[in-house]
Amino acid sequence: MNKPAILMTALLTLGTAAAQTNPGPGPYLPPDKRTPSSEPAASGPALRMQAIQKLKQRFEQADLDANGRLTREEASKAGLGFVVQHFDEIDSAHHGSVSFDELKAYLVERRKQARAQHIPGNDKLP
Amino acid sequence: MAHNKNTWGCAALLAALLLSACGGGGGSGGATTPVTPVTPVTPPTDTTPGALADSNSYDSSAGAALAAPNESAAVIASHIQLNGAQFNYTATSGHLTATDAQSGKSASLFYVAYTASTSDPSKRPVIFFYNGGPGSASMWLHLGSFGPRRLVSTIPSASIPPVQIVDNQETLLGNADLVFVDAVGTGYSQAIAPSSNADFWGVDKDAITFRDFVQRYLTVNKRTASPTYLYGESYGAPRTAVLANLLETAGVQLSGIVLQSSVMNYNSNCGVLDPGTVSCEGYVPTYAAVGAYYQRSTPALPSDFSSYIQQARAFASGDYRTAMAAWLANRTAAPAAVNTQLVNFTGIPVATWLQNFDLGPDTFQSSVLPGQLVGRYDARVSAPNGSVLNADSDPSLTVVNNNFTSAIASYLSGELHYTARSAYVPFADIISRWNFSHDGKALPDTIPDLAAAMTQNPNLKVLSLNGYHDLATPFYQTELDLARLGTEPLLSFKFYSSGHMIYLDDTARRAQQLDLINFLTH
Repeated sequence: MNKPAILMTALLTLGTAAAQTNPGPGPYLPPDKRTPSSEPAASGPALRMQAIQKLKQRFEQADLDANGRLTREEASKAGLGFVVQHFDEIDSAHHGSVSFDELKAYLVERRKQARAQHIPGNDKLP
Repeated sequence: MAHNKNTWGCAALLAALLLSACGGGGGSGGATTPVTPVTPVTPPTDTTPGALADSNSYDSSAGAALAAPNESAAVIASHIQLNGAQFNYTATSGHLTATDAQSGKSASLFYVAYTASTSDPSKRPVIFFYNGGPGSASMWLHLGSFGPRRLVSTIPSASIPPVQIVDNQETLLGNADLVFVDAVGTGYSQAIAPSSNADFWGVDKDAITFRDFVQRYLTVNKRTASPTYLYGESYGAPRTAVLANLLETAGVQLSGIVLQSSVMNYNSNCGVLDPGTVSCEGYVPTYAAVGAYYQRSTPALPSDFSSYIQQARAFASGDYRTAMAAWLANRTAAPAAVNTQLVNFTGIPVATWLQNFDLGPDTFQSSVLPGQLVGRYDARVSAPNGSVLNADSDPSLTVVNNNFTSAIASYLSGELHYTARSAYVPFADIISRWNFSHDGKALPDTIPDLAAAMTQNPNLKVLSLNGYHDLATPFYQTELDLARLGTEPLLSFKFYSSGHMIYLDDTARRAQQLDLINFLTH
C-alpha cells in the first residue's frame, strides 16, 4: 500500500549515501596497504645515485642490442626524446652513439653550469 | 563505501521501479502489464555556437573500455569582468587521446582548457592542473582555484553557502593558459578498448597517461614551444614528480612545477599509515598551528606566529624525534618535558599524550577541541559532535563537498556547453584497486623522481605550496621530504593560513595568486 512512499524513502536514503561517498580529494590508503617501507628514505648523494639509477634503467631498456650504447634511432624508438634532442652534445666524441657514462657526464656538466647561474653571487663567475 | 557510479545506477533502477510501481499499477491476478521501456532522457539541443553534445557515455568502473573515442570539444567564446574590464577567453572542453607508444595502450582524457589570445604563443605559459585521490576528478582545482570562474567558498566558516559561481579575480588566465585534466576513471576520462580503466590505476601507468596527454595537448594545439608548467595537488603532487621525470626523459622540457599540499613520500606521512608505525613529527607543527588557532596553546596567542611555528619545527625534529625513536623502538615513555611541550602547543591533556604518544591526525581531529570535531582538510573548520556537518567525518569537506559536486555538473553543461550521455564523475572509489607500488617500494616515494627530473633539467623551478591548517598533508613533513634533495636554488616554499585546498580561503587565494604570478614570471 505504501510502496511508493517506501521507495521514495529508499531513494532519499540513497541520496544521503551518495553525499557521503565522496571522501574528498585525498590522500588515503586502503587498510591493507598502510604499512610503510622499512627502507630509510635516501637523501643527498644516495638520493642523487637513485636518480641516476632511474635514468640508467631507462637507458638500458632502450639499448635493444645491449652493446652499452644508444644510437639516435634506438633512443628515438624508446621515447628518449631528451637523448635525441641533445644527441650531438652528448656524443661530443662523434661516435654516432652514446654511452650512459657520456650521458651522465653531460648531465653533470649541464647542472654545474646551471647552478653557477642560479646560486646568488655565482652569476658573475666566468 | 559505494561507488558513485553504482549509486547512479541504483537511482536509475529505483526510478524505473517507481515508474512501474506508480504507473504500472492495477496489475493483479494473471494480467500481464506490458513494461514500457524507459527511454534515455535526451537533453534539449544546445544551440550555443561551439557547443558539443558528445554522443559517448563514459564509465568509471574498473573494466570499462571506450569503444569509439573522439577528440571533439566544445569551443566557447567567453569573457569575465576582471579588475573592472572585460577579459575575453576561449573555453575548450573535450577529450584527447593519450597513447603510450611503447605499450600501445591509450586512454581518452577529458580536459577543460582556458586560453586567451596572444601575439606570441611561444611566450605564453601553459599550466596543467590536476587533483589527486587517487580517484578524485580535478573539479576542486578547476572550480575552486585559478580558473576564470570560481565557486564561492566561505572557508573557514562552518556553514554551507549557496551554490554561486563568480568571475574569479584571482584567475591566472591573465598570465597563462590553464588546462584542467581528469585522470582515467574520473570526470569523463576513460580507457580506450582493448585497455580498461583499471589498466591505468597505478602510480606509473597513471603518470605515463598524463605524460602522453600533455604531449598530445601541446602538439595538437601547437604549444610545444610554450613554457610548460604542472600543478598537482595532494596525490597530484607525487604524480607531478613522476610525470615531470617522464616528460623530461621524453624531451618535453618543463619550466616549472607546483606541488600543492603534497604527499611526496607515502612512507613518511603518519596520517595515511597504520597508527604507531612511523613518527608523526611531520604533523607536530600543524598541531601547534591549530592549537594556536583555537587559542588552546600556551601562550594562547603567540606574539609572532612564524617564530612560534619555527619553534614547533625545531621541537619536532629535536626532542620529539629523539623521544619518538625510543617510543617506536621499545615503547619507551617520553620524557615529561616532551609531553609538556605537546600540551603547550595543543592544549590536549597530558593524559592523552601519555596514552597515545604518536598521536595521529584523526585522533587529533577529535581531541583538540572538547566536544567538537575539527576538519581534516582544514582544521580551522569545526562542528560539535553529532552535527550534520560531520557527515563526511570532516566538517571542512562537508561544507564544500556537495556544492562542488553539483556545481561542476551544471557548469559543464550550462557554461562550458559540453554534455555527454553520462554524468561527470567527481570521485571514483578506486583506492583499493590502485597499484601504489613504485620503484621497488610498496608505497611510493617520489623524491627520487623529482631528483631525476631536476638532474635532466637543471633549470626546473619547483614551488611547494602549503596550508598551515592541513591535517591531510602537513607542511613540515613536506619540508622534510623535499629537504632530502639538498640545497636547490630553484626550490621554494610558500605557506598560507589555510587548509589542504588552500585556495578555498579568499585571503590565502589572493596571496597564492601573487606568489604564482611571481613564480611564472621569474
